[in-house]
Amino acid sequence: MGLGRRNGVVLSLGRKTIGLFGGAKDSHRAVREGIAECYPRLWRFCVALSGERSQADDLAQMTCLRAIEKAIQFKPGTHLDRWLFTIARSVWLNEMRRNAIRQAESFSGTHEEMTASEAPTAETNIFAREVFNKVVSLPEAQRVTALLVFVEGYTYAETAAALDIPIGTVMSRISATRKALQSQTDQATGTK
Amino acid sequence: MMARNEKFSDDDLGLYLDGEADAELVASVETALATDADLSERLNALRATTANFTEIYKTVLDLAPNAPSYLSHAEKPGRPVLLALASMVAGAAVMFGGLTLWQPAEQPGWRAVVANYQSLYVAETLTGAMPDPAQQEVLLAQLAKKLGFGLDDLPEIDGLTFVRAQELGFNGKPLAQLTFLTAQNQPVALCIIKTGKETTNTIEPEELFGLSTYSWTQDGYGILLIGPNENRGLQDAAEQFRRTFAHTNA
Repeated sequence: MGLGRRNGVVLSLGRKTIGLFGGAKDSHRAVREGIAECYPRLWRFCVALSGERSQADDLAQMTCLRAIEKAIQFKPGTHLDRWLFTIARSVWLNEMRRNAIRQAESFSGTHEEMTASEAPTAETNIFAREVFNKVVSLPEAQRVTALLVFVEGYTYAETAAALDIPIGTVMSRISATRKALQSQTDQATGTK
Repeated sequence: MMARNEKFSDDDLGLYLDGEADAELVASVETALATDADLSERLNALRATTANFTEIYKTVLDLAPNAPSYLSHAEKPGRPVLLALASMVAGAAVMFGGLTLWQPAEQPGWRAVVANYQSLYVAETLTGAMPDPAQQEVLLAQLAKKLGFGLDDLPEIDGLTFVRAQELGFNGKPLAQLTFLTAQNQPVALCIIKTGKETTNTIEPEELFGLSTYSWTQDGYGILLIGPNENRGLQDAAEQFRRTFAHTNA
């Protein structure tokens, strides 16, 4: 958990807590007060990462707990949403992704199978299930990159930094996403 | 797919639409647009493609839940996270010679970590796991031996059903986690770790990460009972555990 690696010092005297560095207090307040507002978009980012609703719930909550825990590292005045996305991505890659894949029964490397096994149990609402089926119609790397560029309005450079990948990878993912979306549209409209 | 306009690739047009094209490409696309109807159609088709994607994710946003209330509670008194930090200032506390050392400044490291972990527990975490009682007994005995703390005479507590014991670890030390379900299927955990602190005669109630915790020290072992907020039975349960351990581990 890395509780030992902290920048600020806080003294706890019974029920009273005194922050020795004012900045730490501001950081905590900014994170605490901002989380609720950012939560829906954080959850959506977690949906893009995990492709699945209950995983997104767990990931979003875990991200917030982690953010509260290391709030001292947050610089008030910067983008809380972007900071939360970075934490979510790291929690997903380092702690949850492997288990999520293991849990998907009969998973053998294709997204179609993963969706087919999960959808009936995980999502009973037909409308929502359709939406989630559309979400997983693109691979994780493409949908996360496309979410940041097309929906969140990140530049390629910002996306590269957020996902810790070279800008060339952002470009090739965006290009591949456009092709995949185009071919989905063609199939749906029977134009191909 | 559209008929290709030879001058620009789909990738070029993608860069243009995403605002990532360099000045030269922007200028040549815009010059061509003035005379090339096909190009304008291609751009519209590409726009429509990403619009579909954007639309799906707008719908996802509509499905998003609100932030769980414990997240805003978690920090209300400014305490839990700060408590976690406080463990590192145990040393600093010594400089303030007047402070008594049993105060929470020393211990919260493991308690905050346990609470953080426990906050991820839902009923399904435990209702799915119904381990073999005989195996659990063996495991409890092994845990007790490793920890050096008797766990063989756990009290029967109304409203708490024992589910399983697990060995966790904190800073290289074994941490026993005994999990229970309440009558309402809410997860509760009893955690024990060697701290070397003196026995406390009172139970300290606290709210950590939106959960109620009751902690005390018995003969060098930190003990924490953690469970859902506003569950009145929890404090009584903590008192029963405290009395039992005071008897069996004195």
